[in-house]
Amino acid sequence: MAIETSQAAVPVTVLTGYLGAGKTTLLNNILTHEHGKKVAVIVNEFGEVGIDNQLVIDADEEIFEMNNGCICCTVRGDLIRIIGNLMRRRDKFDHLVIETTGLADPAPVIQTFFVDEDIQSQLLLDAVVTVVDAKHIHQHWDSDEAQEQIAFADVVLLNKVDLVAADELDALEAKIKDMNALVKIYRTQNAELSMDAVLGVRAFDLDKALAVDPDILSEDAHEHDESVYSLAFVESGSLDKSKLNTWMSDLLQTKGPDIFRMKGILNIDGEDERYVFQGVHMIFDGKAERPWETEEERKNELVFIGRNLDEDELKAGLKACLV
Amino acid sequence: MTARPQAKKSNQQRGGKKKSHQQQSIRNFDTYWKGSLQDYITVLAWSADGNILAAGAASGEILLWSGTKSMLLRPAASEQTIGALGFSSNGRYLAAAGQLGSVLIWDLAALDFTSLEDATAPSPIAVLENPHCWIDRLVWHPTQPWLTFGAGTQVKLWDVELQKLLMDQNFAASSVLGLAWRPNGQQLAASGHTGVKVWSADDWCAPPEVIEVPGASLSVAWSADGQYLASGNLDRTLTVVSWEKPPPWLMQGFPGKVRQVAWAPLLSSDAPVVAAACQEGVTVWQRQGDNWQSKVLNHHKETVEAISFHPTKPLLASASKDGRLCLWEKAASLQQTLRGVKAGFSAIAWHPQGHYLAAGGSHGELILWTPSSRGTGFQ
Repeated sequence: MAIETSQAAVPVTVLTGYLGAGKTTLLNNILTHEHGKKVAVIVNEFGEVGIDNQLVIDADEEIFEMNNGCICCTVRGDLIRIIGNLMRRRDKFDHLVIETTGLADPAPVIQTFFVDEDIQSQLLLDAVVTVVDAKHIHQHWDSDEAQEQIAFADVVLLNKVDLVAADELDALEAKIKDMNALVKIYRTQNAELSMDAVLGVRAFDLDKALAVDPDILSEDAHEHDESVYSLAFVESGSLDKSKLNTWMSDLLQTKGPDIFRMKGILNIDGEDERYVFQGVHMIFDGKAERPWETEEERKNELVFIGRNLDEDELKAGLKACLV
Repeated sequence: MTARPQAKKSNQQRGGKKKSHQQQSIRNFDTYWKGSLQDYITVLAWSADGNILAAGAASGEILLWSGTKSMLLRPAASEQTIGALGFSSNGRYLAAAGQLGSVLIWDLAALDFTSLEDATAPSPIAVLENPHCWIDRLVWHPTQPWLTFGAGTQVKLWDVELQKLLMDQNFAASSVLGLAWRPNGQQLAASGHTGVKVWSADDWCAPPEVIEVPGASLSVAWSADGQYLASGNLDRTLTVVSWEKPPPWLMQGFPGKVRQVAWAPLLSSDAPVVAAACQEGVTVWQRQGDNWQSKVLNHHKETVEAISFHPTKPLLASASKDGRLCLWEKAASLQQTLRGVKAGFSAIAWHPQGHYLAAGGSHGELILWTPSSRGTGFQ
């Protein structure tokens, strides 16, 4: 997924979360903040988007299967069609917000931005923002959608914190971190927070240095409560490029459906630059980033988020790539 | 608009390889007329007799042009982008639709085209409401006053004269992405996710014939004789079907999605030719025996937005985002590159007799070219 960060690229925010979690409130907060800009909002059903002069487009969730030789994935056909139409104008919009229903799988939305050539060249997926109802999320833990919305998130709003006790919130936050080690969590009431937290996140931009929380990397192996969880690995030493390629492509072929997202910073043998990569299911994107600094410890950091991931097997696979 | 095979032309061709007078004359194209609308030209359509050109824009405007005169049929309207336009086969009705979801139909019978600029824009005779649908596909039956359009996942067929819905079928797998009548008017093809569904005029309620494609079919087109159907697919493939002679061919190796397909007019001496637009190239496929041979036409530097064959000659026009409009002689060699828009071309349409080539640009430009009268005697 070569991401073109051309200057004209329109940023896209994807809002997910269960009905009643506070998505519409957050959307209205975003629109108020973006006052004066042209924001296009794509919704699955007309809700209470109460801001005048903004373009709200109704969409049905149309899932297209794609199999173009190198990758198998699903994309959102309705987004390709609607965004294609929206881009056919001279004065394009400044920001696109896609609100999905609580039952939508976020993967096809994300993959659309990396697979469709027109969308990829004109828009830039900024972040997946998931609003969690801190009081009622417990009723939804069994659903795949609720877990996947957290697994795919870059930002989680733990909303309605006023209705939940502090220790319960700590436990909930720990649980979310266990599922998605890369996510940033904000505790909110009425989905109110600084808009810098949800806009301009550039979560999919490889030029933005990946930040992997050192606490996650140092965490010991433990049992995971949910079927969706994160695994983080850190290995010193350098990796053999061809072994790494073989391992990665094998991993994507066999584990693609189970790997929701992955990110990493790698030390490739013989290279002076850090190699940064990220992936969404079978879609992989990587590049040489900035040079390693002299005092910086050259090491390999990887985070996987998914289900049915075998920690020992992945660790062994990574170790086998060491020079 | 589907070009009908012209018996006279075919006979000329059959009479030998000798080039006809007119064929020789089309060497170059000169700018004939220029106009503009406020935003991106999304669609261009000629009436069957070639007397009127209609242009639709992202600004919501619809312009009618006739012999250097023009009028605004519909003024600009915020968030009412026009995405589809078409004239009925008899040229009397014009239909338009877009972001608003309503299909607007005008009766142009009373309009005086000799003094378009002084005429008052008529009001639509019918407005078919489809709330929350962004309509971007609309085609007329080749002979009947029947309008077909895709509203969400529904394929609708409206009889303008009886003012009634003749058909309302659910494509089911997705929104309708492409629509095409077989030139004989007996079959209607609709494309979308999983493939092309073909309904028959004998019984609109009968289950459609399904041509499966990998992934989604973005664009569908019938050859002029109705013998072949081509589908440009999202999964970087092209499907070609010989009607009622399965299995279909699947052309692979495209670098991106196949966004548009167009058949060359049928010249009796030649094998069928279909062109497919993909990224900055146009691939031309010609049937040879049981297979198809391809050739890639390269000259565009950015995405090819529209392709269209001259109605009677194997002259292919392709227009791209980088502001190049290429004319390919015999759909093979570059004959001329036309320019004239600030950024990119967005739409093209040949006059039904080939007297003009119309093009639209992403900044609202409208340009008409006419075959050059220089050189060998075009009159």
